[in-house]
Amino acid sequence: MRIAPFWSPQFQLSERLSAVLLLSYLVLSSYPARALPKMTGKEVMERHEKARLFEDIFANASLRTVSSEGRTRVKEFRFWRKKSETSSRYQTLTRFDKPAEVAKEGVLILEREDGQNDVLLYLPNFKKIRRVETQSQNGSFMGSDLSYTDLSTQRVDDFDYESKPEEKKCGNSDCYLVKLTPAREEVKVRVGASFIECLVSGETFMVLENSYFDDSRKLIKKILSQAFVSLSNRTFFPSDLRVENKVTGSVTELKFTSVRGNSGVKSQIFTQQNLANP
Amino acid sequence: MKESRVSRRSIPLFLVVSLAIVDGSYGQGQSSDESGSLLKRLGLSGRAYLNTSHRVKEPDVGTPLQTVGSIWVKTDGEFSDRWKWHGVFNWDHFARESGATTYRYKERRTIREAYLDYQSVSGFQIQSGKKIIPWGNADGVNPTDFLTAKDFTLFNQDDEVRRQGAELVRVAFTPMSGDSPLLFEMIAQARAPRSRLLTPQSVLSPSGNISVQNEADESAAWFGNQSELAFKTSYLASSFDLSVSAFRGRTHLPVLFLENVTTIRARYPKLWALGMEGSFTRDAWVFRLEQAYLHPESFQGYREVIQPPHWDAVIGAERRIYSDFRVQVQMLSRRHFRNPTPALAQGSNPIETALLRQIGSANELLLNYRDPWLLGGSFRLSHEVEGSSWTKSATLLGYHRGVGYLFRPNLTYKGVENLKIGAALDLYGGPKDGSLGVLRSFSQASLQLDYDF
Repeated sequence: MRIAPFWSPQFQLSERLSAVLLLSYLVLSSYPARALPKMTGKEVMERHEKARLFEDIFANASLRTVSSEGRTRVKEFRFWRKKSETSSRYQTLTRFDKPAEVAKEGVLILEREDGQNDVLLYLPNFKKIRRVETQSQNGSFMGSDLSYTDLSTQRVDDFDYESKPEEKKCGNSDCYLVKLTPAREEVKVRVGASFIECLVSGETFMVLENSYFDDSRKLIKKILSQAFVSLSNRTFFPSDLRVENKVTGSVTELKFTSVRGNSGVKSQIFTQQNLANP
Repeated sequence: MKESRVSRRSIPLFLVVSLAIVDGSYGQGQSSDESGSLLKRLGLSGRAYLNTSHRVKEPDVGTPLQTVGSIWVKTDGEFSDRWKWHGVFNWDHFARESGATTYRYKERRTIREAYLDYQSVSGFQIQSGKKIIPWGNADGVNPTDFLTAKDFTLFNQDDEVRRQGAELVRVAFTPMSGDSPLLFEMIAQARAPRSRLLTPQSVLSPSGNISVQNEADESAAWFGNQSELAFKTSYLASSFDLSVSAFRGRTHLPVLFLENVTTIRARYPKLWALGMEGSFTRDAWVFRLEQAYLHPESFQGYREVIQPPHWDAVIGAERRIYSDFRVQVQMLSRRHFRNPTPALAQGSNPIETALLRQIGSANELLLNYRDPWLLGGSFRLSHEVEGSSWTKSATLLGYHRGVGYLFRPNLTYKGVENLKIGAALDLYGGPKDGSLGVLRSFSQASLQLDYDF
């Protein structure tokens, strides 16, 4: 059967229009993606830092870990985070409610100006606070595949960047693939990786995927941000994270619900006195 | 025969714990029904455990020392943003060895904690009721733990179960409306809590002709000379913490006194103390320091029989090694500022003098001050693989100069949510006349089931 060209009178107007649109799409899609603004890796991460900049946040959270053998453990906690009044450093408190064996346990993460984090753990059975040393901050956060460091915010100055990040398609949008290399040994210890490949949305500048590699360039962990909550104009908070531990084969999902941003969380929440007073 | 008696008596304990476990599991799955919401409103939770401990030293290997089943019901809640309550109520069943061939069965219902908590906008916090306030950041040995007592006769793999609080009022103030790293605390205890020591009968009365009243007297008066007062100022910075404390009250460890020529009784002399503690992290290490000067008050005729003023200190360091091990090392020091000389004790007659000297020696042994300056240490190694259900640890505590040692390996399995099964050994060793060596008859193997609900 012979198909008539679309300009022939046999075609109705609407059909012609559809054909033009289809052709346009095919022509345009065969060209490279719309070029993202040229930025250095550091500039991309600075935009990211702005995109996740909020005053404070409160949320309920659920931490679901499935081991490689298929055993599932779910923990529920409340989550507070507040920006320091003088810098873009954050203070974070998590207070566990379930299961009963960890109820009232609390983790306080204080990001310091010098780039170090202080992590304090409250153990209700002992009624005591224990410090978590830097070396252990890349260890498991409450038995999950997240580390204490993953719960803190990563700072631009803690890493070195490639001058020209790779541009990639991620779903329907364009992304930057930025390689972050710890700028100092203590950052490397805290992060627990030799370098991180960070997939940043060119639209929202939120991190969509973090891939952690060890010294032998082997992928050890991947964190995927699957959903975001908009806190204000162009400020977002990742509300659904999936962590894939490539070494043990286990997977953790962290979901935040009832997220309230910039609601005036008090700074007294982030003191040791409050940590020890569940 | 005695074993079968213990086993029979132990059945209700197992049933009680099993019921708590079943009930707890049911409650977990019923979050949306009426009982679930009631539990939520009352903030009810709890813990049930069962511990059975058996001798491991000759000649009575395998004989039961103690079996304990216990249920703790906890309640936590808020009346408003400023007012909270907290309570923990215990129901314990004991089957405990009371002699070479006899056992005692006991049921005990106690209020472990029950207090109200008020927090003001201006940074004040007031807590009133029965509460456990464990001071000290070292592990296991806490010179600044002025406010609590421990029942060492209760065998449990978790040392904190032994801890006892007191009826108190705590007033705390944090400047800058609660935002300052400074914390000021004042605690007034209505009645000094009293520890119970693990005491071999032979130490108290080698000849067996003296009646020993070693049980802590629960009917001690409130207020007056039984009350205690403590102050603490802390600087809780993010990178380090440091605090100084002062205490005036009573010793919480019993000191043996001669009531009459046929009776020895445990008493708790007055005490004042000054303490200091701090901790900080540096790279891979966490460092802790804790020390206290303790001055038990002597009185007429008993100077040689009670513990002299002393300075206790602990310096500790802890870190992770490789990926799954944690190691902790602590150095312990006990410096007495007067040579203990029970041999110089003088009674009103030769018999009383002999008894006083005997009691003085027993106090030296039980409270570990035979040498004016003792140095010791503790070493703890634990192993836990991320995602694994097993935790292994081993602790060794010891002093030089013939005091002896305690070695405590422990294996814990956490395969089911909220349920923990632990197997442990407590092995006392060293010279038989050393403070730890003398406890060798209490060397034990224990099995413990712990369930949180």
